[in-house]
Amino acid sequence: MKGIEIYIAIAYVILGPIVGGLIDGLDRLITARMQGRVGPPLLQPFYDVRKLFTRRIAPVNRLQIPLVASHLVFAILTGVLFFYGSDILLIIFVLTLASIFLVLAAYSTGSPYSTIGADRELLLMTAYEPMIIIALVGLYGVAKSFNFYQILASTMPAYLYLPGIYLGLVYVLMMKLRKSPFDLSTSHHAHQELVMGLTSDMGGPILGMVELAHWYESVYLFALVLLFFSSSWISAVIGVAFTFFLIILIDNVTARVKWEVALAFAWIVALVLGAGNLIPFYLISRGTP
Amino acid sequence: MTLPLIVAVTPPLFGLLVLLMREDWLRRFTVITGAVIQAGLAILLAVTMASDLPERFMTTLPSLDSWILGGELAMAAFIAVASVAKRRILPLGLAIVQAALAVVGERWTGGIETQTHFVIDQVTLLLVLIVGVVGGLILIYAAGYMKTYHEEHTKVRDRRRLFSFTMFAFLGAMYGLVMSNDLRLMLLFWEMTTLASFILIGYGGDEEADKSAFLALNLNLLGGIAFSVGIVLLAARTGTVELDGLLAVAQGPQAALIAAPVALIALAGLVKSAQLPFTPWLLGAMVAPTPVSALLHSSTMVKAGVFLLIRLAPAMTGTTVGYLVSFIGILTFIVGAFAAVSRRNAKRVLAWSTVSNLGLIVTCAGIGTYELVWVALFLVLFHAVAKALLFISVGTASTGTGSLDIESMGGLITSMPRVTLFLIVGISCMFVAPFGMLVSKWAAMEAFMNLNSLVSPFMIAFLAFGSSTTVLFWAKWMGLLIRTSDPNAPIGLLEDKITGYEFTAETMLMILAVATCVFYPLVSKFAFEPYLLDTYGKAFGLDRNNMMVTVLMVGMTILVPSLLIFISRRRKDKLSTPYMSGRVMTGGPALAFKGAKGAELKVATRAYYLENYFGEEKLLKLGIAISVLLILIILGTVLI
Repeated sequence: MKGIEIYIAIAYVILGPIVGGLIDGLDRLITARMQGRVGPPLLQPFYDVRKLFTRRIAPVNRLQIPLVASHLVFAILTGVLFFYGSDILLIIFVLTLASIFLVLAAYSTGSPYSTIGADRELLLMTAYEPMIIIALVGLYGVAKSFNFYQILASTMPAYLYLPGIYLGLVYVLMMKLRKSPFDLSTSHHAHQELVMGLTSDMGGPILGMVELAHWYESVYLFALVLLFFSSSWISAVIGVAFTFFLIILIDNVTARVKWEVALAFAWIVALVLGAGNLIPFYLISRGTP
Repeated sequence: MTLPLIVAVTPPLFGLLVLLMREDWLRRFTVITGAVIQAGLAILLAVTMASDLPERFMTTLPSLDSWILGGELAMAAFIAVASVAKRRILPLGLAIVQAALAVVGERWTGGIETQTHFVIDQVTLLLVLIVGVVGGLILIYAAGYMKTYHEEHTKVRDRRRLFSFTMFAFLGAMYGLVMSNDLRLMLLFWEMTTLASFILIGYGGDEEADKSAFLALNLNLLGGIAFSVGIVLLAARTGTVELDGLLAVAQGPQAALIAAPVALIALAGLVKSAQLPFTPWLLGAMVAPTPVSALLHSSTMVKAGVFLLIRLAPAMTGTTVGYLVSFIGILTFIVGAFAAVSRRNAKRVLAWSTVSNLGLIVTCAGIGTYELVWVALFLVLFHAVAKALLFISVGTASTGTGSLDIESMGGLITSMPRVTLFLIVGISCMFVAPFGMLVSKWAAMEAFMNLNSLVSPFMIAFLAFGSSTTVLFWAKWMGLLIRTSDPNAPIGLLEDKITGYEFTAETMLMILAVATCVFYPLVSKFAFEPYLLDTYGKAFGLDRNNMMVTVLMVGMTILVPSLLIFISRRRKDKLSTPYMSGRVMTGGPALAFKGAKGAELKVATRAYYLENYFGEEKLLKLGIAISVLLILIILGTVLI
């Protein structure tokens, strides 16, 4: 395994958006089928983003472009570190850094829609972070490592030991992937009460960069899910596919909630499903080295 | 050993010099010279002694006991006079108790032969550098700030000579405190810092300043009394009054004997480091002029508290007292992080953030394993530099905007771009990934995971919630700073009033803040790891690769946005207007939209404060209730 990480990390930089875009396309397709529509072609997200990049750049201030570009750079960097095998707990904090650049880009406009979107994004970050940290600590408990490949190589089926943590992680991934019922800071559709919230004042290539960053992010978010099922090939395929399907299903059958509900429930989930799983697991595994 | 003595005595000597000077310019010159010289001496001490630690030495002062007693009584007398003058009974009573204890203590411990009066090791040098360099920069800042302060606060009596003297004396007392091994000496310096903070907090002279000053005095006197009783008990039970004597007993079979003295001395540390339930004194202390807040929060006072607890860590580790102390710490950490969300006053937000971070340091010291002590030491370092930068920058910002409300800092990037840069660096250091505080929190999580203890998963959960909440208030504040409602507004309008002293101190602290994040692996390797090896027989550092990743990340986090800003400045993109449902009005100075009948309505946004969820009063009450219970349990377990 040693030595190959660097190539995977490089491959991620090149192939990341392709995989991420495909995930996005598949998502739209399945969503359409669930709603009884034919849906767009699988490659539609690529057409959309290509079109965004053909538009003229029209920022609303001089900070917007550098901040959004920084968001993209750090979103990629997070994935590079992830696939390079760095400490995943550290990586989650870098992920926060990437998100903060996007939030700052929205705040910098001073416009009401962007500002409230940014406020809500910060609340969501506060909501999901504890659960993600608990999930990583749980994985560490199973594999005794914070290295992606070492956890991947662990033969212990994490989903059996950490079912609560897995469910909690899916819960907060809904936020990170901007899915309903937690699509309250921004969404792909401009018909919400905040227009497009966080991204209301971003257009053309600027919005394109946000999309690209989102694709990069979704790759390692699903790689994180993979870690729960990595004990065998079959469980890996079934586990990730099931999670993907579950997220789309929830997205389609729920209506957006208010931020209070999002924050309070995410924390309750982190406490009940997350800590409630972690603490017994820790106590049991303490005896066995 | 003359250099440590020179280091400790230089600041008070400059203080006395300043006390004699009537001319404003001469005094300012002396303050700055003194600040620079004492910082230089601190650095010199660190450089010359770094190779051969720990260094132990004795003072040759004859009849030291009498000197200590004399000092204690003089301070008690001063407090008694001040209390009578302001008609306060409680501090008078506490001062009398303290004086009585000093007399009793001298009788009891006077005959004990001390092996080592002073010890200088890596932790001492860390604190010496923080006191000298950060404290020195705050003094330079104060030279500029206090002039503006008195121009704006015409009602406050101009006692700047007393102010400068006390600031210098404060630094001197801190030097003495961190070098002391004889606990009686440490207590003497301990009480000096209490007294100095009392004078500085009360500088404003009005009702509120008096109230805050006496609150700080009362609580810290109480801590001092616990300290004195602890020393007497220690002497009675083990026959030693030295810190390393205490730690030696803690390693031996008679460790149970010192549970009570350790608990009492730790109690003094908890008071001084503003842990719950004693937090209110630090919150009240923000009425003082900004340099005082900066000094109390970063390099002196509260750092003396956590310094003592870190010193006691080897004696607390694995004991009931240690666990209970760490529970108080983690409680303070959570309450502080939550309460900061709901505050609009910038100094209040900073104060709660200090409380929270001190709580984490106390948690680490209470558990007291070598890994967590490593974390605690780094938290002390990173916090001192970043918080000093933040406090003095907020002071400068408030001089410009005329308000401490963080809402008034909206769009500061246009009116005060340099101050905004200082604030952004300071804020980043407090909560974003590759920077110091977060690296320490990350290390704390990993240390808790390696700790084979029942408390680990609970501590990790608390850490996760607390550190996620800090994102809420820091990022919101950053967002306010960089808001640009008018891209064509003139730049830097409000920075005219700011003195060069302030900018110098801020620039230096900003550079220091970044430097600590870049060079911390070296600090770990050459200072903290050897210290832990000496104290615990085990060294700890984060994985070298991980440390390199964080250092590279610091570089990227600074370079990438700077480079991108630089490049995009040269682009001549036509700016568009923010989305305003098609009713945006252009041409005015502020963002506006068309209301009914085409009336121009200015856009006003406000940050969230979530008072209902993170209300300060509720949290403080709850925190005090729980922590009082914990303190009673501590006292109960050791005294009964």
